[in-house]
Amino acid sequence: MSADLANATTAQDSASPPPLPSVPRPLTSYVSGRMIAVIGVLVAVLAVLTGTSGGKLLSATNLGGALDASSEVGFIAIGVTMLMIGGEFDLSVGQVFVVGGLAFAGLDKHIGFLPAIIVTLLLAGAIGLINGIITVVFGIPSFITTLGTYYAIAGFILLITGASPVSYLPPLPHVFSVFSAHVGGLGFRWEVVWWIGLAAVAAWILHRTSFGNHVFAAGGSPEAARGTGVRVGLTKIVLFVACSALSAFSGIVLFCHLGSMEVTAGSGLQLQAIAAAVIGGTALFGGVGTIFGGVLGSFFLGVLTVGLVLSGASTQYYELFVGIVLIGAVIAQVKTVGASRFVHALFRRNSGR
Amino acid sequence: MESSATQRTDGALTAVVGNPPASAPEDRRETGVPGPSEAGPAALELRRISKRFGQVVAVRDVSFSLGHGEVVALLGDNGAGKSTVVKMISGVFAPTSGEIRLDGQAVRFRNSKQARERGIATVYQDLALVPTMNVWRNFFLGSELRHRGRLDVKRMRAETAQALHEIGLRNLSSVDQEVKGLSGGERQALSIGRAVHFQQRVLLLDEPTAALSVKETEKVFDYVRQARQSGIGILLIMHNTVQALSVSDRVVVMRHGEVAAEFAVGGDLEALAKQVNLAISGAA
Ligand SMILES: Nc1ncnc2c1ncn2[C@@H]1O[C@H](COP(=O)(O)OP(=O)(O)O)[C@@H](O)[C@H]1O
Ligand SMILES: [Mg+2]
Repeated sequence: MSADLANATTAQDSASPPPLPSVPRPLTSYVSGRMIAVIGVLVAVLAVLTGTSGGKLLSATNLGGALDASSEVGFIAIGVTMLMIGGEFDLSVGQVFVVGGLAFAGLDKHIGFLPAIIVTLLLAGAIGLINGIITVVFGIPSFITTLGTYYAIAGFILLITGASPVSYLPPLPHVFSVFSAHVGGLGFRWEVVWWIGLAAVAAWILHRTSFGNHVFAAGGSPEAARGTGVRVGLTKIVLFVACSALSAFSGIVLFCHLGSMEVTAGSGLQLQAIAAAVIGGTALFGGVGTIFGGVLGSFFLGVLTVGLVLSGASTQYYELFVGIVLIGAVIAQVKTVGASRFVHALFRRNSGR
Repeated sequence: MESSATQRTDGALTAVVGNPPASAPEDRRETGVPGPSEAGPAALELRRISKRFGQVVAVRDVSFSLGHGEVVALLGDNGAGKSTVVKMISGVFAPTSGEIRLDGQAVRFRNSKQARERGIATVYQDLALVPTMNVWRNFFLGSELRHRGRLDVKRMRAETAQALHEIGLRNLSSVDQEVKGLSGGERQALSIGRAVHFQQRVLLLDEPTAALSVKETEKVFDYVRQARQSGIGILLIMHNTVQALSVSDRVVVMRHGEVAAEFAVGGDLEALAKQVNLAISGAA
C-alpha cells in the first residue's frame, strides 16, 4: 500500500529473529483415521465375500471385473465428491450418464469417435451449467434443482428413444478398445486406468490449486469464502459442469464396453455415487472429503457387486446395502453436526455471485 | 478499573520493548494523540454519513476518523447504529448521504468486494474463517500463492507461521491444524494477522472479544497492539467500556444513530470510563 507501510513491515521483518517455528506436517494431513477405518472395513468385506464365493473373488479376472464395475460409478463419484465438498448435490447424474451413452452412440457414426466424445461432453456440460445456474442464481437447493432435471431428462430420453435401448451390432469399432481392452494380463480394462487417471487429476486440482481451495471453502463456509473474495457461485457452477461431464463420460465408456445403452441404465446411479463418496469420508453437508475416498468407496461398491454375484447371492442385497449406507451416513452426520445444521445444509439457499 | 489502567500501561510497554527498532508508526504513537491532525490524511474518514431504512434513520450525520496505526473503539448501546456504520464502511450498503474517505480520497463502494479491494478488512464474529479448513489454507484463502500454476504450499505454510508469530501467536502447534480446533482468541489472531500480512488499510473488528475469557481477551488486545505497529487503522466495535479503554487510542460513542461524544484515551482511565458510560447512557 503506502510506502511507509511497506517500510514498517520490512523493518520489523529484519528485526525479528529468523522466525520460522518448525512446521512439521502431521501424518493426519495425509491419511485420516476415518480413511484407515474405511480401508479396514473394505478388507473385511473382501474377506467375507472371498469366503462366501469360495475364494473365486480373489482371482485376477474377478478382481479385475470388480475394478471394471467400480469405474462405472467411479467416474461419477469423482464429480459427485467434488460437488459435495463444495456443498451441493447432483441427483441428475444417473440420467446424464444415459444421455452420455446415447448421445455418443448417435454421434459416433456420423462425426467420428473423438468429435462424438467432445460434443457429448459439451452437451453434458450444458446440462451441468443449467443445474448450476438454477441452483446458484435462483437460490434453489441443488437437491431440488437436480431432482427436477433428473425427471425432465428421463422424460426427454423416453420421448426421443421410445424407451428402446440403443445398440451397435458387433464387432464394435476398434477404437472403442481405448476404454474396453484389457490391460496386459491384469484382468481389468483400460477404463479403470482412465478412471484412476481422472481421479488423480481431480485430486490434484482439489488439493493443489486455488480453485480446489475455493471448493473446500464454498462448502465449509460460503459466508467466510465470500468474505475473502472467493467467487462461491462461480465455483459451484464449475463443479456442476464437471460433475455432469464426468457422468456423461462414464456413459460413453460403458457404451464402448458393452456396445449398448439401456434407457434405464442410470436409475439409482446418483445414490450409488453419493454412497461411494460418503463411504470414503465425504461429508453430506460440505467442506470435507477426498477424491481418494470417493475412489475407495466406488471400489467398495464394485467389490460388493461382483462378490455378491460370485456368492450366488441376489444382487438386491446391493441396493439394500446402498440404502443402509446412506441412512447410516445421515444418522452419523446428524449426530455430529446436529439435525438443524444438516437440514439447513441440505436445503441451503445460494445467494447470487 | 484500577487494573485496567495498569494493563494498558503494561501492554504499551510490552509493545515497545518487543519491537526495539522504532519504526515510523511507533514514533507517531509516542508523540501523543495520533490522528488526522498528523502528517498525511487519515486512513479512514467519515464525513457526515447517514443511513435511512425507509422511515427509520439508523445513522445520522456521523463523522469521525481513523488514523494509520490508530485504534479506535466504537461504543454504544444496542441499536445505537454501530453495525450500520461498519456495514457502510465495508461496502455492504451505501450511505444515504455523506462521504467516506480513504487516505483523503472520497470513495463509493457498490459492494463489499470493492471495499475489500480498497484495503478494508472486516471480521465478523464466526463468519470470518472456514472451520473445516486448516490454518494456512484459511490464511491465504482468496489470495493463494501460486508457483507455476499450482499452490505454493511450502511458502504459504511458512508465511502463515511467520505472520502468526509476528502478531504474537507463538504457541500454535501446527499451521496444518483445522480452524475448528482453535480457540476464539487464536481465530482472532488468524484474522488480524491476515489483515496485517496483506497490508490492509483498515481493519474492522465486530465484537472481537464477545465470547472470550478475560485471559483470551487480553491476548486478542495484544494482537491488536501488535497489528497497529504495521500502520493499519483498527476500528473495534465494543460494548465493554473498560476493555475498550485498555486497548484503544480513542473512543467514539454513538447514541440513537449519532455520535454522542468522542474521547482521547489517556490520564485517569477510571474517571474516563465513568464519563464514557454516561455518554453511552445519554446522561451526560
Ligand atoms: N436493514 C435494516 N432495516 C431497517 N432498520 C435497520 C436495519 N439495520 C439496522 N436497522 C435499525 O438501525 C438502528 C441501528 O442498528 P444497528 O446499526 O444494528 O445498531 P448496533 O449495531 O449499534 O446495535 C436500529 O434501530 C435498527 O433497528
Ligand atoms: Mg450491532
